[in-house]
Parts: sequence; structure tokens; C-alpha cells
Amino acid sequence: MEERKLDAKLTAFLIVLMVIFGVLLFRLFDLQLLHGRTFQARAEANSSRLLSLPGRRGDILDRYGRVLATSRPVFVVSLNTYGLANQEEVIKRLASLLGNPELTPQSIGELVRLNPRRYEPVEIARLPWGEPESMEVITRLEESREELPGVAISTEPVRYYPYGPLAGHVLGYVGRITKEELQAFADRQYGINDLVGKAGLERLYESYPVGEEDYGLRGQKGMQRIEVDVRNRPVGDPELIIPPAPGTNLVTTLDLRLQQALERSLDETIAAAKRKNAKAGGAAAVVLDVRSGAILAMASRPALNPNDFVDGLSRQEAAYYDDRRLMPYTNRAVQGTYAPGSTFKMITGMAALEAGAITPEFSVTCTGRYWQPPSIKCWDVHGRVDLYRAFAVSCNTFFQHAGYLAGPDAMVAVAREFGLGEKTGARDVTGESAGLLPSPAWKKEVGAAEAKRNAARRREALEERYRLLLAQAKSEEERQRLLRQKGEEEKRLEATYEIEYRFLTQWQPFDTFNMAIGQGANSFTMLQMANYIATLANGGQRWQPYLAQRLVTPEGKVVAEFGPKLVHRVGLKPQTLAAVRRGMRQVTLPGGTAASLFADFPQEIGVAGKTGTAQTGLARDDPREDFHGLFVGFAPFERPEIALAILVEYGESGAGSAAKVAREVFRTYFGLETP
Amino acid sequence: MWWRKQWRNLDLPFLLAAAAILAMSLLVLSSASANVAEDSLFYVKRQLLWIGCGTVLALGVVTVDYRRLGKLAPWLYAATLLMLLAVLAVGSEARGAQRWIGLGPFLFQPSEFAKILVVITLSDFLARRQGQLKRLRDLVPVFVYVGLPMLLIMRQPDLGTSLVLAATSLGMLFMAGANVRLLLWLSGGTVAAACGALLAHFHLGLPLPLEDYQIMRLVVFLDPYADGQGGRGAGYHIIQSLVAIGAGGPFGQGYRRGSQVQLNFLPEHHTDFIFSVVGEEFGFVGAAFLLGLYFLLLYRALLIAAETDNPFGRLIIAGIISMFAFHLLVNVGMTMGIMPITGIPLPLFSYGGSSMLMNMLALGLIVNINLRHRRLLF
Repeated sequence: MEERKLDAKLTAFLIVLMVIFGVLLFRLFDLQLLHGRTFQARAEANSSRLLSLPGRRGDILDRYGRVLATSRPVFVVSLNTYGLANQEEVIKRLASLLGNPELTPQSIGELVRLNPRRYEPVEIARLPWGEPESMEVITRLEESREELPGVAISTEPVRYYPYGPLAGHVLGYVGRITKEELQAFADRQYGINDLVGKAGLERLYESYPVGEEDYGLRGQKGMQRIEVDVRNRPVGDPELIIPPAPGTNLVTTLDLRLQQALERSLDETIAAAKRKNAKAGGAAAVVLDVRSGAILAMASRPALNPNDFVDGLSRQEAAYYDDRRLMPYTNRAVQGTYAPGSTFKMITGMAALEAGAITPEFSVTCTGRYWQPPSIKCWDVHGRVDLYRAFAVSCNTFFQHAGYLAGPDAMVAVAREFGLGEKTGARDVTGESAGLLPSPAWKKEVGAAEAKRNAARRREALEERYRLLLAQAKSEEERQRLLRQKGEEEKRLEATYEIEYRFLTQWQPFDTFNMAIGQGANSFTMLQMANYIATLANGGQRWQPYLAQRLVTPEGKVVAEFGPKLVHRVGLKPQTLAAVRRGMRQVTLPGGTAASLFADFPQEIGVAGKTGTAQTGLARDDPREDFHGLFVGFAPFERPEIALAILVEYGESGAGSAAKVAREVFRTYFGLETP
Repeated sequence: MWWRKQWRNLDLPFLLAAAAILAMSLLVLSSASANVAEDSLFYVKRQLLWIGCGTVLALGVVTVDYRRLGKLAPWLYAATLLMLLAVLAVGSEARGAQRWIGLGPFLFQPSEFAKILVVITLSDFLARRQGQLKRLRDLVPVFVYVGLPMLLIMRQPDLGTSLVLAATSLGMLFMAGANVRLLLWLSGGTVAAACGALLAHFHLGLPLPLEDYQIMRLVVFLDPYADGQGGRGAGYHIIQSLVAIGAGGPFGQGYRRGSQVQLNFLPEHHTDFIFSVVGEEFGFVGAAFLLGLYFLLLYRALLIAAETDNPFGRLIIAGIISMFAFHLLVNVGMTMGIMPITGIPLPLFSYGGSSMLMNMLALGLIVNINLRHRRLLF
């Protein structure tokens, strides 16, 4: 080998290289030998993990402490693929043991692949505690332990509604927190996997701050520290740093038995209605304590089962809840508005009595049609009818005349006294609708807008037509002729507008007749209707409906108590209310529209009510065939305790549908034996 | 074989050092990447494939006399520019930078190849100008020549690779006999200007043509906790890497037992931060051994240059040594918190196809020069 000698330049290179390596080595020496211990301590600290422990969510109870919503343990099957050699096999085996058609080896593989933290286990399935099917699956998994390395089974408290859909719309549901909610509740320390109340009481009472403390349903998370080894396996026992604190229990005004009776009967009635009209399926009902406004039961159909939302909706469930026509999410009792039909007639009667236009003894002769045009037919020929009999047989002729005598303003004033057409302000419900109480002033406003819209449309059509004609005009003479013609037509349009404006904005006699029998633009929620009947029943005290009674800590300390609140005292003569109540009593007595249903009720209970059969007012419905069935009522007649309003969509008639539900509610409330 | 005689010249220590580095890289990679992909050997297999391809490529380079490459220089230079333009036009984007071109199932990173191509073409360029690089105006054409590919790479943006080109050119200019004082003034001046600009940016609000995150990465090593997020932002990498290396202590946590790496506290530990894995799992002994291997490799390259009298060949070796040394200083320095984060890999060690092929190509070139160092042998 030849001699190799570095010349000056290469020596310079060597010196630079030595400096570079010297610096690196020195730094290495500094970090590893001089400060190694410090960094070792830091690395060890990195290997302890803080795990949050879920705090148990507070229960929701009925007025007697019976559980409506609670938490129960659920099995969580998870898979840790970290360091797993035969991952594919394990997944295949796991899928076959789980036996859930939605969890194929592919979908489990996808879950594993999408796991952002490869070294942490990924949740594969949740199985409810105590159900035979899930116990079976868990047993199968435990037996095959050996074939399933990396699979772990743990338990976690999860929301559970023991009665399924019972009061589902009232209770609401919980679901995984969204990004928006995380931001909105930034100061409340939610984690990205937390469940949060999404609707109903679950949402409204998620949090209830009192001073520094939060007495909401949500439990406070605890914290525990576990040490993990290099393979991320826990070493030793976890150390509890902060114990989790359970959430507060919410006692509601609901009565479980009454709610059950109401819903059971609603379901039966809807099933019967469906056999006659395929559109049936919806219903709304509210039962109030007339002495306080407390909501004893409230239901909406189609049902909403809060259990469905705990693990997220399955495809089938999502399809059910997203039905555009039936809209199961809607709480029809507070959000749905319906024409009251004949259940409005108490307002008409009171307006006429109060104005002195009639007395209870005043009578008309019903020939099956009101004599003033443009009248609405009565559903039967009733002959001589006084106020009481008018209620009993729901005579349209009588009430059209009563409405005519009282006038629209008097009817509107009385309806307002009872809170119709405005929100009841009920606490603890969300999205309450105001409904609509038409009045001459309202008609003027709506009608003017409509007349203007129509006029503008006609004007535009005219301009368009003449633009074409003028463009085709062959001579100046013809053009002039067309322009004259157009001027005349414009004048005519102006006249049309005047006539239409007057017609659309002025309260017409038929508006009065429609209002008198609860049709036309009238539409109210069942909550409003129930509250109107409760107010009528208790002699004129309008309470604010409410659902939440108290918040009680798990130790039994009452942290908040909610009571009744009087909103308004009706300014009508007591005799007026009494006369109408007496009329309502006739409805369930022999000769009344709901007599047969309440025939076996003891005298002292005495149900007072009113049936209603209302046109739906929907464009897609046939006004001669599609009717909603309504029933409003209260009992006992002498000393009223509860009031209710029930609506069965496409129930054909009030007596044939809603009244049957009312009967079951009264039976349950008064403890009558079911025949 | 006609070239059998030449193999007697082969510098074995050089090859052994390279082979040892590659072997150690596979060993460390199999620990570092075990929890990155589903198949724990995925990255090892791919890296092995790259090493294989690189060896074939290097052998191919060895068979062709390097002196012929000088004649191809203008074409290679044009190809470099085209490649870099192509990446800006059709390249795919990852983490805010456009560096890759898809080639079938692989992503090809032209800026890596630009490094070795610039070394070859600049060697030719400078070999023609040896002894005529005394004045500043003599250097201007050189700056333009290197400046073009540098600017294109900076556009991607890939600041690290541009800096590699600058450092490489500096070493080659020195080798070509450029005025040393001038070079010192120029490089010192540039560094001072860059520091001054950064200071002015932070204290006086001077706008810089860099994104905020780039500036942050350049300065955060000075105090990794001052990244505006208490060490959870741009400083996170450095902190975790320091903890990993420091926790290695004298003998390391043991192979596949480094908790920082295995529990994923340290991101990118199979690419840019692979030296931290060496430090954590093999300790001072292992890390110093690896640095020793690199030193041996570069020292042997210097010896090969010493016995070569072809200026073109000497320039190539000078370029490659400068490039490797700069990579080592910046990459290893970064993992130990004494250099800015620039995202340049550890040569022959970090996972990455383009970079591995380029480095193998560079080794092949040195062997090529090693085998043909004497004209009289022909």
C-alpha cells in the first residue's frame, strides 16, 4: 500500500470533524453521565398514567322516589393490540364469540386501525349488565381467555332507563359530547369521551350550580394513578388520588303509575287508530295537578326510548328517529300544536255568559245547521238545546250562535285569560310552542301581507304579458292601443286588490263561527289545553306547569326545592266558570258524548270533560275523513284534583280515541279497578 | 475480471464502518418502529429493501469510472433542476411541506437526490476553476450555480436541506482552494446575519420570509419550555428527546426497553429522532460507539481523498464528507438540544428510502474513487 498522508487541506477537514464529534460527545457525556439520574426520574414519571374514574350520574325519580333513570354497570370489551403477534386471528376469534352481526372481523380491524393511540386498548363492544344474552357472551369470552390475548373485560357505570321509552321525551337522553359542547362547557372539565345530557331533564339538570358547588345530575370525575411498565401493562394497585363524586338525584313531579297507565292506553288507542287510518301514530297528552300546576304525566308518540342513545343509535334506530313524517324526536305535548275543535267550546260559552249575551237557561233550536250564513253544519239534529245540553251533545249550532252573540273580541279575551295562544312558561320543558290564537288584529296583519303578496304576483304577470305584446306590436298605433289596454287592466288590478285586501284583513262572520267551534287557525299545545282545563277546574288560578320538585344529594340532603308558581288569576265571574264546569259534567253523564266510557265511574269521582273531533288543517289530509281525536277533562267534579288534555292524531273522534285514554288515567289516579 | 486488480486498493475499514452503521440501524429501527405500524417489522423490512437497492445502486456506480461523470455534469445539473421544479408542480404534501413525488407505491424525495447530484456537478464546476477562486467576484458564479437548486428546495419549504447544500458547498470551496479568509468572512457573516435577523424579529418585530412554526423550530432548542405552551408545543420533541437520551445513562435502559420510545412519548422516533432511541436503549456506551463508527467512516474517506490525485475526485469526497458531517452535527445535535430542529435525517440510520439510496450512492462514489486512485494502474 502506498503511503497515505493528509495534506494541509485534509488536515483542516480532520480538525473540523474532530471538533464536531468532540462537541457531540461532550454533550452526550453531559446528558447521560452527568445528568442521567435526573432524566431517569423524568422518564419514570412519564410511565405513570393518570386515569379518570367516571362519577356516577344522579338518578331521576318520580314523585314517590321510584326510579325513572339510573346508572348500571355495563361490560366493556376492549382489545389491546400492542405487542400482539397474531392480531388477525384474535380479532377473528373475538368476532365469532361476540356473535354481533355488526361486529365483523373487518369492522373490528377498522376500529383497531383508527385507534389514535396504538398502545392503548380500543373499545370493541359494550354489553348490558344482567341480561342473559350478554352474560352468555361474557361467559364465552371468559372460557376462551387463552385464545384471546389482549382482550380485556371491564365494567363501567352507564345510563339506564329501566322503563325504556316511558316518559322518554320528558327525561331526555345522554350522548357523547360534541365538539361544540366541549367548547361551550370549556370551564366544566369535560373529556372528549364523556356523556352529557342532550335533551329533556337530562340536559336541563346536567348542571345546577349553587354558589361554588354544582348540584347537577352529572357526577364529578375522580382520578387514579397507575404505573405501567414498558409494555404499557399496569404494575401494582392503582392509587386513588381524587375519589369520584356521584351526581345529585332529581325528584320530579311525575307519577310513575299514572305515566305507565297513560302510555299503555295511548299505545293501545294508537294501535286501534292505525287499523282504521294508516296515518295514525302520533299522540300527545298532559296530566296536571290542578292545585299546583305540577305535571303528573306527560307523553308524546311516536315513542322515544332514551336507552337507544346511550351507545349511539344503530342504523335501524336512526332510521326510526329520522322519520320525516312522524318525527319521534318532537315532544308533541309541548311542541306540537293542534286545532282544539270542540274542546274550545268552554271558551265560547264563557265569553257569551260573561258578556251577558246568554244565560245557562238560554236555548236555541238545532236543525242540523246554524241559520246564519255562511254557517257550519252541526254533526246531528239536536232540537231544543240549552247551555248544558249543548256541552253534552257538543252542538255546533248552539256555540256558533253563542260565538256570534259574544263576538270575536270577547272570545279572544277569555281564551287569553286561560293562557291559550301563549307559552305556559312551563319550567323544565324545552322548545315550548306558543300555538296560535287568531283575532281580528292578527287577521288584519296576516291578511294584509297576503293581499300584498297576491297583488305583486298579479302585477308582475301583467307586466310580463305586455312586455311580450308590446315587443310584437307592428305599428305605433297598435302600441298605443296596447298601452291604453294595459292602463285599464292596471286599474282593474287595483280594484281587485282593494276587494281582496278588505276580504283578507277583515274579520268575517265565518271566522267567528270557526273560532266558536275551535276550528280555523286556532292551534294550541296539549300543555296549554291541560293548563286551561286546570285553570277552569280550580276556579281560575293559572299555575305555571313544572316537572322538577327537588334536588337531593346521594346523602339525602335537599339542595334545591321547587314549588308551584301562580301566573294569573282569571278575571271572570265564578258563576261563569261554574256553569261551564256543569256543562262539562254532562258530557260523561247519560246523553253526553262520552257517557258510555264513564258510566261505571262512582258518583263522587264525577269526571267532567269535553270531547273534540278536529279537522287536522293539514293540506295533505282530507277534511272529511282525517280527524284528530281530543279529550280534555278534570276530576273529581266537586273538588277537582287533576286535569288532562289528550290528543290522538287521526283518532277519528274524541270519544273513540282520546276519551278512552283519559278514562284509563282517571281510573289509575282514583285507584278504580280495571274491569 | 478486468478490474480485479483494483480491488486490492479497497479500503476495508471504510466499508466495515459503513456496514456496521447499517447493521446497527436495522437493530435500532426494529425496536424504534415496533409500535408504529401494525406489522412490527414493517419498517425494518422496508429499510432492508432500501439498503439492498442502495447496495445494487452503489455497485453500479462503482463499475463506471467516476471521471466519466464529469462529462455528464451539465446534464445532471439540468436533471436536478427539472426534478426540483417537478416536485413543486406535482409533488404531494405532508405536514405543510411539498417534498415528495409518487412513484408507484413509493414516495420519492427529489431534494435528497439533489444533494448528491449537486456534489457531483459542483465538483466538476469547481475542478475547472481550481486556483481561480481568490476574489469575491470569482465566487459569484459558484453561488449562482449552487443557489438555484437551493432556492428551489427552500420553496418546498425544506430549510434543512438547503442548509445542507450550503455547508457542502462551503467544504468543497475550501477543498478547491478558494480564499480561506474570504470563505470565513462569508460564512461567519451569513451566520451572524441570520442570528441578527432572528434577534431583530423577536425584539423589533422584523418580518421574516418564514412561517411562524419554522422560526419557532429554529430557536426553541435554546429553551424548549418557552414554546408558548409550557413545553407541549414546539419544544415537546426536544424535551422528550432529552429525557430519552438522558435516561439512557451510561449503559442504557436495554434493547426494546426504553420507555420514552416504546410508550410513544417521543414522536418520530424512527426517523429524525432515531438517535434518541440509541441514547435511551444503549446509553452513553452505545451512542458513543455509533459516533465512533461515523468518525471512522469519515476519517477513512479523508484517507481515500489523500491518495487520490484527481481534483474532481477529491472534491467529490470533500463534498460528501462535508454533507455527512453537517447531517451528523445538526441531527444528533438536535436530539440533544444543541441544534435547531430542521428535520434532516441521520445518514445511513434514519428510516427513509430516498435518503438511504442517496447515502449509499455517496458511499459508492467514494469506493469508486478509492478503487481508481492511481492513473498508473490502467
